[in-house]
Amino acid sequence: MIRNPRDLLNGTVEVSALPMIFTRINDAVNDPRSSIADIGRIISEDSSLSARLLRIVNSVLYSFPSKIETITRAVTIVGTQQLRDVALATSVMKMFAEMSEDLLNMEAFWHHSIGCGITARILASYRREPNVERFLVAGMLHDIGRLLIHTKMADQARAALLRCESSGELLYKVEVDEFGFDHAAVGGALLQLWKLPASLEEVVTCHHNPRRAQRYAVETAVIHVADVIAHAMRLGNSGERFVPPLDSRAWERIGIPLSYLSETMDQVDRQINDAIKMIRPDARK
Amino acid sequence: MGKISLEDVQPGMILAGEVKERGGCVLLSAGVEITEKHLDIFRKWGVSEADIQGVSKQDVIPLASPLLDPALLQQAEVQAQELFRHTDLQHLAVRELFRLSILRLAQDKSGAQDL
Repeated sequence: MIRNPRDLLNGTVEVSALPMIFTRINDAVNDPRSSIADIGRIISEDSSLSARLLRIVNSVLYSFPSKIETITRAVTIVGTQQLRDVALATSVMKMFAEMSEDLLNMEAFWHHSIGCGITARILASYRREPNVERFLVAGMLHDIGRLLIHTKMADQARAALLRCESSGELLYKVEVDEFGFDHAAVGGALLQLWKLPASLEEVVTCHHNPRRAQRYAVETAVIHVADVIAHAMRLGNSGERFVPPLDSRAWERIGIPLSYLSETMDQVDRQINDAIKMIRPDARK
Repeated sequence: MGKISLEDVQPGMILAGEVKERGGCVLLSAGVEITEKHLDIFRKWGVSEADIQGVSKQDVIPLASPLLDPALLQQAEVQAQELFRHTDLQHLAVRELFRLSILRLAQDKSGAQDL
């Protein structure tokens, strides 16, 4: 019997560890003695990851004036932490690439997740936040708990979806009612298991309850608002059919002018298709 | 009155309040007539809205939805009502998202009709 999010993680061999390559990149980024060349060398060992990263840095997300041909140059221009974050996002997507699509269409799921990620990145750029890539990653992973719920407790997940279908309730509230926890708690627990930064964990755990965020209130508020925008734009499908309620305090906290919302949507429209093509690992191959 | 989106600001309009960049520095003060050059500078500095004499948000909304079939807009509104049923439409940001969502839905429908 599954009573709390931790039970979901037990025995999940396939998700219990992030790919080795990511751990090595992360260690190198956190090690003050390692150089840009060292980090470039580690990334280059994984040719599919390198190819993906080069595609991403050459995409509309960055729009650098000239083409970036090598990983070392990408690391220099984009920055080590940023590139690590992008590597993380693509590694995680790859892990769940083989999931059953019976309940949740993966294409639509990543469409929503990437949509939320680039929306968050645009809001963060507006706020002139340092390292906007962490917002992209947090957005991409905010609903990751749903994938785990669908893998580990498919029958209950189906029941929750059906209940929402007929009652018109919000899925994350039905999750709490049916399982005793929601996908946000599961996602947070998974990120903790992976030993990812506490900021990411708090953002994912609190994205429906931004007032509960203690240390990373701004980051959480940005993802919360980005999720609402992504739903209002009907980007993809995360399982939730409705626009989740907007927390007024989170909205005030990020200080985005009302008139910037339409500009944000226009920017998302311009970036989303390219971003999906770049970030989704070998989609449809 | 309230600020309107920079997209809707035209050369020749008069500023009702000063325009500041995000850091808070004043780029242009109230009472100045806006030129194409000013708009260019605003865009470069990331200004997204301005307070214009005699123009309010209500005046520009129809401009932003060119030639959408009213029947489609109505269908779109019904759909958006359902989409937003758990939100507080009294909140200004939610209301703006709701408005944008209706426009997007209507545009999708009109695009589908043209095909």
